Amino acid sequence: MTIEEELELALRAEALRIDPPVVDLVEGGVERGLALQRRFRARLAVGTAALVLVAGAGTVLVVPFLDGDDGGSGPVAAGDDAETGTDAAGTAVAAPPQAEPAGEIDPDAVVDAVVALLPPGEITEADASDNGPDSAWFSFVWDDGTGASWVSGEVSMVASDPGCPVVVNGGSCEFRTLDDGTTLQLQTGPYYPQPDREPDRRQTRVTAVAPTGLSVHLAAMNAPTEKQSEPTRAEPPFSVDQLAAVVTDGVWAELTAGVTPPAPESSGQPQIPDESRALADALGAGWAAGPETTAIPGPEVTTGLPEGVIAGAANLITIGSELSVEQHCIPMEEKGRITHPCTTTIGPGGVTVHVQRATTTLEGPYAQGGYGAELLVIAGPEHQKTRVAITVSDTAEDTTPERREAMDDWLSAQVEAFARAATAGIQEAG
Amino acid sequence: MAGSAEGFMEFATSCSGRLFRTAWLLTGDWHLAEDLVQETLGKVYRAWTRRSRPDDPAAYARTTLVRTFITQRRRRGSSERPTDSLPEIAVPETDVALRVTLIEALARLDAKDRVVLVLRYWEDRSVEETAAELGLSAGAVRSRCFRALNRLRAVLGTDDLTPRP
Repeated sequence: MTIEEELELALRAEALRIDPPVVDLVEGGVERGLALQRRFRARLAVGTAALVLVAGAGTVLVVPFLDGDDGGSGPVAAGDDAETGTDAAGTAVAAPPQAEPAGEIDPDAVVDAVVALLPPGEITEADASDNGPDSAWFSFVWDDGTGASWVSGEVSMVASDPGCPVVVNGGSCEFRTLDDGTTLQLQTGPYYPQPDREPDRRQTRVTAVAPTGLSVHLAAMNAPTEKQSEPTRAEPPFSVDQLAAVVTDGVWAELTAGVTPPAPESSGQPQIPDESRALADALGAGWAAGPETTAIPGPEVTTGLPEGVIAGAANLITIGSELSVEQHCIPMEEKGRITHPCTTTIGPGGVTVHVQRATTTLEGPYAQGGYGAELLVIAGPEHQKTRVAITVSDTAEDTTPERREAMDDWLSAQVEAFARAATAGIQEAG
Repeated sequence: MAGSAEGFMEFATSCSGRLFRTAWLLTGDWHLAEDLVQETLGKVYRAWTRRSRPDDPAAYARTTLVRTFITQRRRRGSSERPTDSLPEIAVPETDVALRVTLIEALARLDAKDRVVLVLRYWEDRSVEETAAELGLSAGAVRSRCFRALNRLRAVLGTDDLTPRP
């Protein structure tokens, strides 16, 4: 075999060894696309103008606006800015924001308000724009001389889910409800949710959601940029209480007065492909077809699982010859997921079926996300294998050896149906 | 006319798996691969909704991905440097181990050489197509490919894996 052929095989095996996190990729991609759009729109709106802000201590700050991904023009000198004004003492002050049509959040006014509410510091790299009339975002670098901090946030009439996520990175999240019904989510700790990714990059962030739907989010990092920078200080410069004081200030109600929350979007019915119907049929009674080649277990199927344990959808994928069964069945542990070796059995029609189990770790930070157990059943010839898989999960608080055993027993009871579905999948694919 | 966000979602859902696998081969790191694909999809989204759906969105996305990867590597500057002489490693006895060794050796190549090999041998791009995606001449791609394969061969410490004629 030539090295080219060997490399080709190695690349295919390596690439197909992994399960891409498609949902995260698409959501993250759209988020970044929207951010790029916002920056582009803001650049159009502001042009080459720079906004001069006065920090609390009276430092005159020139804010270079909107250095985009396609290369900005760098900081703008104060003398170049025709919109710069001076106050009575001759100090440069922010040019008054342009009058906005009623019922819209003004991004510039949002930046002014945040800067005024934070402790004194030099403000640079400011960027702000709207996400539509009912929402505005901003970011800038704040530096009091002891370490630059990337500050970012959003003011929106679209209330976000204020609940605390499961934290596995060593950080903390607290949820409070104030007397007026405003909810506060206060988080601090490593920026990335994964415990093994840049644990020294830390962020403090607070979100307030008022009963009116007004949501104010503010975050500060211990580094000058979101990525690709070294921390400038051990912790972000502001505590959660300092940020909470900013996001619950009365100024936000004033700035959003007259802004109407958007009407809720109507939710369409997801498309159910024929492959999902075939999968549900093959799995048997109690399974319903779901979107994207999945089948949803009904109550008849989930009987036997401990109360509170959630069964995900069964999903079917086809794997080509690039990833052999041997490679698929290699036991390993990655990011808290332990993949066990396969067992081989004979399925319907004498087809060889490989059964694999995976579980989440019971110790360490990943265990805080709860316990999950997977069943993966593979059938078919090497060149075109079908895999049907399902995950059942329990919370970290509820999981016990007995509940885990019941979950494993339930998965064992599904092997026959999954072998049937995987075998049927080969015939469908063939 | 701008393309629809719904159309983009459908495209992104169908192609992100492939893009991630390519990114995984280029970066060898789950988080970096995730970043790279999200960055890529963000750029494609912007082009899609501002202008129109690209004629061949998959090719557009792949080109964006490899160029973004090279730019990111350049920005990383001195933090990662390919080595001129890769250590010789005993040839593993099994196919699986040999492939692992190859992947490890690939990760130590110069970013552009790595892109060339991944485009040629994972994405099945021809020399000309690879050259067009990277803005290089076909000769430069051939030369990079030849050099990179030789380095992989040197890592394996064997002449048995002879190049194709």
